[in-house]
Amino acid sequence: MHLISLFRLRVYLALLLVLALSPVPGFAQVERIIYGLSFEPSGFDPHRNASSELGIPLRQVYDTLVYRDPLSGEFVPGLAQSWEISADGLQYTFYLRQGVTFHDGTVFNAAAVAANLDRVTSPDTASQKAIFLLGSFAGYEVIDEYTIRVLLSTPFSALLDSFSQVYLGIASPTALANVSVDRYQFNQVGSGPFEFVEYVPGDRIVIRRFPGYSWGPQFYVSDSSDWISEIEFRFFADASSRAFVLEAGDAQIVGELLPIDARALISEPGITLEQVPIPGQPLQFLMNTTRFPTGSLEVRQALLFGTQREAIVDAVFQRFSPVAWGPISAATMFYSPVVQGSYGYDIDQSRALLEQAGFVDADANGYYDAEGGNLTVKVIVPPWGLIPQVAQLMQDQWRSIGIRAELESVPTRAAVFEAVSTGDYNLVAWYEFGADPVFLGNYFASTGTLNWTGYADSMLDSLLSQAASTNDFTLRAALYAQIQQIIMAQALVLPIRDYVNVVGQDSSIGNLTFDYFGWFPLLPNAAFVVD
Amino acid sequence: MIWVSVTISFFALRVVPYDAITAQLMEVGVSSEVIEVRRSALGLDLPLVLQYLHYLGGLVQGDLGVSLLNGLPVAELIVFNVYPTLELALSSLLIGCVLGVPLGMWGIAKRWDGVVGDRRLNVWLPYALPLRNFVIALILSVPGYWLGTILIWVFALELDWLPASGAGGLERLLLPAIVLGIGVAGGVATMSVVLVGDVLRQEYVRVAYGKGLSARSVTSKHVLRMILPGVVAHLNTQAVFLLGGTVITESVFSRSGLGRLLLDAAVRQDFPVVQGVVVWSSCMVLLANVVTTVMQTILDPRIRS
Repeated sequence: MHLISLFRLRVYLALLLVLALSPVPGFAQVERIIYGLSFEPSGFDPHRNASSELGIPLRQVYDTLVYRDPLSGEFVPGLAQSWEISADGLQYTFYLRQGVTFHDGTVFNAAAVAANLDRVTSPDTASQKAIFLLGSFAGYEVIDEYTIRVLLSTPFSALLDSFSQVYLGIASPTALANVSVDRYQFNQVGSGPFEFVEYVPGDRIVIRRFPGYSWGPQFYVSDSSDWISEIEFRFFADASSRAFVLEAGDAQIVGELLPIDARALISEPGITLEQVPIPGQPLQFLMNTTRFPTGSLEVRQALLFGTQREAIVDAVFQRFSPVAWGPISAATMFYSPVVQGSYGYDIDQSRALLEQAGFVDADANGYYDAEGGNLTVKVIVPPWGLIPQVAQLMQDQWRSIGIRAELESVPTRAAVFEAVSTGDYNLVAWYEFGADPVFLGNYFASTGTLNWTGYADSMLDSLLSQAASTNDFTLRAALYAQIQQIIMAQALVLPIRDYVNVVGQDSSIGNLTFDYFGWFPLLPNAAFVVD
Repeated sequence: MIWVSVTISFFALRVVPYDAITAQLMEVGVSSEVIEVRRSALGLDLPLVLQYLHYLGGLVQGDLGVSLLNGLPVAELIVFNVYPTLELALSSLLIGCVLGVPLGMWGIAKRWDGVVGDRRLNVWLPYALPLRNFVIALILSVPGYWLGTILIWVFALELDWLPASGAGGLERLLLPAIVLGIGVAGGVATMSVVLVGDVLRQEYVRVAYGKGLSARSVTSKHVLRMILPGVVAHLNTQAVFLLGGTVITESVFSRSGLGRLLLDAAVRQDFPVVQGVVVWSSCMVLLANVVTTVMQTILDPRIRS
């Protein structure tokens, strides 16, 4: 009995404590906001690390030589006021902006760009992405204080796209020289609209508006009295917790909301959703042309016709994504609308193709027969991006076209590589992001490092290499249109949905827009909405 | 013992085919020749036994190696993440004790009062123990993930009393500590029930009641003292689990901590980081064992004398 009352006393004490800790209502609007990242990148050095997530804070800290216009994707001046590309595509001359200083007071000039190129290409940096963005980089020449020429060994038409990415953001040469390669991630200095304040592994990264910034690209708003002065980025790796932290006010902006949570948040007062299309590959399944039965074009086409993508987008993505039709999403540069609508859901067509390929269902068990049993495809299913849910729906849908799907779940990205290396798969889900479709070469050229379809065709090879080396915009558009057409005619991929990042934000923040790459917010333009 | 766990984890991690840097570079579409150059720069191309000896050599000098992906010393990454894990582990052990021991002892006063002859309480007697067992079973079976979500919903969203996420400060500690503490309390209560049962059968407890001591005095002076060493031994096993990091609770509450660090590193195959956390956890197990032994010596009159 006495124990019980003691227990009660403790409960009252605990409740009192909780009450004492409750926040005071009417808390004044702060200029600092919390931006929720979807995970903590493995490192925050833009020259070394590869994660898209690191660019969300660091895009604000660094300027790049060029920018892509957020709407048209056209290249616009950044730290380079103008540039020239030699006729052979091997020399890029950048005429640099004068009067730019880094946050530590260092003057920006050609030597600063040179120091950055040195760092990116140095073996000590062990760059995981930036160095590969430089393509066939063969060195540089400093022409004068504000002119630098970048040299290539073979033409690489994505170089300007690379120089517009945060991974090639220009850092203060003083800051780079002051600390070791490994420590730089804690002491970053750029020339962007925000300056780097601190990075605490596991916990946060903080940036603060840099007052003297006046050399931004044309689409940066130059001044606002209500702008956000400080931003703290925190990590919310548990996808279902993101909606909670937004509602609870623990964060004012969070990306990658689960579609089901986003659906619920639509009606939530005080919260606004942004749907940001991400250029690159859609959520897609690459089909292995070197293994039975996807070695047969009819089977690959049958799988495309037999997949009801609208139903998947409805159920899994709550309609927050457009259906994908080709190997690159509609938001990507050089997307060709000719693939749109191809392979619409058609069970009859699908079954006709399979029968044309000689499959029969002799035992009348609903599945076509193949050696040793039912006609079966093996699908490699990684855990991210709601792929497991998508694969399950596909498995259900393919029952009605008489194909059995065997789903093999793999836990990590490395496990996907392992599963693929055995060659024992028919479909594998995989996608990457990027504004310039130059990445298609990795997947569909016969020598591509990620050629998981096993498709090898000299015509496609030559189209891909031409498209990756010419700087003629119209020609590239025509080449990539043809490439997309061939990939779909050969049914090398089963595209599901174009990637859309659903970002939730507190409605008190206005003008939250994103750059052409989709992942990276243009935070200098965001401002508090004044009633 | 540390050596055993280091050895097992070292070789177990390398059974998987790709290390962090290989997986990362493959993703970017880099050729295998370039990947080989990078691996050899990190010493990953050396024979496994040689890598192992290098690692052990570093370890005896207190060097846990560096992360394959960001070049930071593993020891530094652990230091950044250790405090949130420590505060969470210790506070949930405390909550587990404060809730679990009384719960385990709940009902014994009534049982004796009933036997000794306080007729008023007999009405409750048949229900007290089943009710206690029900409560214990309930908290043992509630998944932390679910409880955490419910607590966030009630205290962060509906009542707006506490933050839903993060680490640092009492207000961010309370909810996750309660989630884990309730889990610990279930185990502590079960253990207490067993221990109390033993103690109550002892002669001296009967004598104490026989002498006319009140139920409260018997419970606190005799029973509680006798079960504490057993409870501490049980807490040891819980502490070992908690100090290694508590992945799920850290995830639900978006807290930094060793569990998070371990999970991220394991998914990315960043071997040195995973091993570093294993070494740290092994040290914590040793420390917890020492603390337990000391506490039992202090608490158990038999050992003390």
